[in-house]
Amino acid sequence: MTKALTIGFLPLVDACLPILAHEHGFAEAEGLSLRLVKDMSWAATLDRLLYGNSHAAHLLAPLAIATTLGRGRTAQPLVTPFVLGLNGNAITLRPDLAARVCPSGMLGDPRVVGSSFAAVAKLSAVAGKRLRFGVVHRHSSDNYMLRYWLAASGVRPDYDVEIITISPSLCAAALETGEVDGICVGEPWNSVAVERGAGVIVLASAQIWRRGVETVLAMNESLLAERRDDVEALIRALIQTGQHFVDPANWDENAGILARPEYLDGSAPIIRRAIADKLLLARDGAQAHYADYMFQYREAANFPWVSQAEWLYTQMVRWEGTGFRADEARRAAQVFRPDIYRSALIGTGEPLPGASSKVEGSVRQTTVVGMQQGSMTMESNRFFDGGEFDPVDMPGYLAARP
Amino acid sequence: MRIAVIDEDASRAAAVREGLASLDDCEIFVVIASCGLVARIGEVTPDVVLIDFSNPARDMLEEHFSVSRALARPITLFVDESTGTSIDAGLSIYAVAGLARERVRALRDLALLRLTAFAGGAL
Repeated sequence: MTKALTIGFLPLVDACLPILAHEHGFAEAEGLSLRLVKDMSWAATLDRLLYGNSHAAHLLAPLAIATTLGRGRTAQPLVTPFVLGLNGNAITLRPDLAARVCPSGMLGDPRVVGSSFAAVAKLSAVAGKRLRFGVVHRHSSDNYMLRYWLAASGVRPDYDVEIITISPSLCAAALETGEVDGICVGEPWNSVAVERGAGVIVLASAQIWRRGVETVLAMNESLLAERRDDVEALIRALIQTGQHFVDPANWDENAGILARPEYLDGSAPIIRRAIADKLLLARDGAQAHYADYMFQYREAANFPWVSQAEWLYTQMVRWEGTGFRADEARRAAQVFRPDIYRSALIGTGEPLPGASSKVEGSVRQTTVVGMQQGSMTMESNRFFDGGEFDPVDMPGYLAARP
Repeated sequence: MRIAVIDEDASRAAAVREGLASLDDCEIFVVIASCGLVARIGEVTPDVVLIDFSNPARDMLEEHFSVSRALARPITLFVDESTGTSIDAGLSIYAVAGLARERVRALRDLALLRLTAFAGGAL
């Protein structure tokens, strides 16, 4: 008999794994029957999860941590045993602004675009017209990556530029109407803005942090305890889906499925761009290839590194000005559950890292890493400014940031 | 009490508004468009906000509440311990701190009655 699991999601390309696990029968082969429930705001997806309307959700990693810490909702412990993907977001600017800060026809160098943007942003601020960015949620990687890039480029978020919240599906329209000058959002919403001629993609989030955590599979801690076997079966189904997802032979079919009305309700050719790491940056331009724009499978991409949860917590503290608290950092770290990931995949052919935490941003060249199972080499996981995050000293890391 | 009814569906919003008309001491504001929604809510300064559960503008609304009202009079999602949220009925309610839960429950019940009738085609 199959076990039923209801999974909430937002119409974003990185909701691909649960959707395709269902569509291609990977879930069924693990004895699961998935029901996918689409929402148009993170608030709605989160409410379903918190109030028992879904078992698990495609959720912003920082939102899972924020909810556990009681920011925005009454505190309720969430856990994530599986990262749904790394990166996949982009920064898209109004075409006239993009032309001033980024060479046309290519993704810029984040340092160069950053310093050009800083000059424009300061001029605008002095003229009393601060530039404004839209991000999908204050507790999102989109927000943290944008702010990381701005701050390292000499732009003070909330002072030199304004950052507001815009739901993914409303981002292109906000750019078009001039409500914002730039957006940082996942696909297909940058490409939708490009199609409308409302924006030009200037940077991929993978250029800011080469291996940055994005959305996760989140669930209540209590659900994990009650349905541990089903959760582990789901992890195995999602891993197999990831392997299938990155195979170029399946890109057309997967883009077609994701484009359906019940999922992203969009255009298959546009969705395919993100899957293939080939984005059209400007409406009249050519497609630009950027390797690992989205990162769904290789190098144990879905492994919930505790150090990634800790990095996200430092960014929450950094931008909300709440001050570092060791007890909060501990609770944030406990949201990511590599133990469950390992338990689900031990004995399969999937590589299992030997450690649960690492110094983020420290891999500069292809490196063989110590494994509990299988073998794996890791490519660069650098931050664009060369910064390194050692979770052993979070207060020190915070103190060294502007 | 100032009540904002936000719904992308104008006729459903009108139905809810009508349902709440019997409440004493209430001023009701209907907001339809997502565009400019936050600015409009900023002007209305409601004590209670009723919004359709699936409205994509909810994240923007919550951000507005957490930034602009955080210190003075925080507005948060209303969750009834006995019945939970009204997800199935497609309604989310935000209420200002300090408002009697009974008052919120009463207006929620009126709104849900209308929404059920609306969904059933009786309105």
